[in-house]
Amino acid sequence: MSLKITKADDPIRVERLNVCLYGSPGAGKTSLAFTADTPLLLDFDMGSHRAANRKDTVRVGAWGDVVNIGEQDLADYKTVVVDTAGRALDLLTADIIRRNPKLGRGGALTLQGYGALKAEFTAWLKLLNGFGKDVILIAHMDEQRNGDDIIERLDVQGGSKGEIYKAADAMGRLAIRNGARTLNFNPTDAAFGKNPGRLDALEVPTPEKDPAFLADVIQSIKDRLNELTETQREAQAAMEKWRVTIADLQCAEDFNGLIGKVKDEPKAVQVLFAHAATERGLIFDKKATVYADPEPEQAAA
Amino acid sequence: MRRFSVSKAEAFRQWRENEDAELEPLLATLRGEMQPTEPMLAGTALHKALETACEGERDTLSADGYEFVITADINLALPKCREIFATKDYGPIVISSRVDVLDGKCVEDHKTTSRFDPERFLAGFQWRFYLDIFEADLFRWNVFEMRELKPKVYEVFNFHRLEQYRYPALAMDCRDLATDLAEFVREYLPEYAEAA
Repeated sequence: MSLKITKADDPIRVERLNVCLYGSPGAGKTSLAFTADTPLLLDFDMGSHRAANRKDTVRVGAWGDVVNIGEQDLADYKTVVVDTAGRALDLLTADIIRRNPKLGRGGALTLQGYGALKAEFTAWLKLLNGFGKDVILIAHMDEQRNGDDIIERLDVQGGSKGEIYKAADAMGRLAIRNGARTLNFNPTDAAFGKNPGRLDALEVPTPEKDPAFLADVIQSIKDRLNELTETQREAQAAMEKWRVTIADLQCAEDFNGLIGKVKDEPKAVQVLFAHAATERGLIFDKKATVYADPEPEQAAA
Repeated sequence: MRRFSVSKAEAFRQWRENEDAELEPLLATLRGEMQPTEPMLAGTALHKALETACEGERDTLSADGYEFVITADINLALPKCREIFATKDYGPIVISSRVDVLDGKCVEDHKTTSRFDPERFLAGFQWRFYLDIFEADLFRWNVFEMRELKPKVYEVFNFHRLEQYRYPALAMDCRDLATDLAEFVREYLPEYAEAA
């Protein structure tokens, strides 16, 4: 075990996503998941029969039913739905304790047991992603009262909840408001969310009206993430170019000669430029928008 | 109005969210009078060790008289631009921030904790302000779970990477909190409402 420090990662193209959908029982999470692209539902909760638009489903009674899932088993599907992720983690917990009773105490995992849970759940998701599948993690919602406010969060036992927050690239909550179902990826004061697609709250149509609703949502998130990948690549390149240039700048005159050019660069470069000037003790005149060298006594200090 | 750090703005938000939170500790925090606790000092030392760490593999890190024994398996990609400072003028108040890592449109923050609680990180405003101030799209927490083995020696026994993204109303949410903090400062810390 060790800490391995490497160079900065190159941004990569997003081909598949892990999406967490959460909501109250009866909100229609499973029905929504069935509108993803050619889904296979792994029914850990044994509740798929309630979905009106049910598609291919495997009922899962034990973690051993899914641990050896192979690429060939999933060949006909593009999306794997884990319904629910909390129940899947419960089954994995039981399986870890069955294999090594020392990792459990009173039915709950020890610290080492949680390490095993984290490693095995993450490896399993990576396996599914490695087969090129999008994964939808369904979770029930828990409402907790904080004064007059209600906080909405995932209803998943103990520390395993953290694995879902970590694994999810996008996280949206499904709710029924004034008779209409809405899917909202935005985080608020009262609810968790991850919204890399920068989507507004979406009204969810019935599966009959739009049987590919979630497939389109996931594709739009991927498209947006890939736009961001390009923007990131450009910003990284600009930063690296400017990092070298900025290292050679010494006095106010050097910095002032480049202020005009820096204004057109990504914010990261502007920040780097201002940070370097401050480190050299230069003083920025906001009115004149130029740097001044420090007074001799300030420089000496 | 004087400048307030992101962590002070977050302290104000947490105080406001908690009906039972007392006023005086918040005022002390905003005045910069709170003394760092031992876990905070250890966290600062780990930050310092990571700020200057070069590429390679190691079993221990050390800084400021602290030693960190790594028993977790950690892969950390660290760009060269670390510990970068920036500010944003929100009108009635300026908010300042220092990110551990700036990599294009991504900012990263190292956190030390005795127990990983993703909801605490996700509910906070630190990541929102960092994304807003640095005009970044992706925020990444590198969370080091650690425990004290003996005085000034800690074991890093687990590591978590958690990510969050910019969302449409992020800038507005930050401006609203900054405005509320400015109003609070005018009322409870009028001496800090003057320009520095």
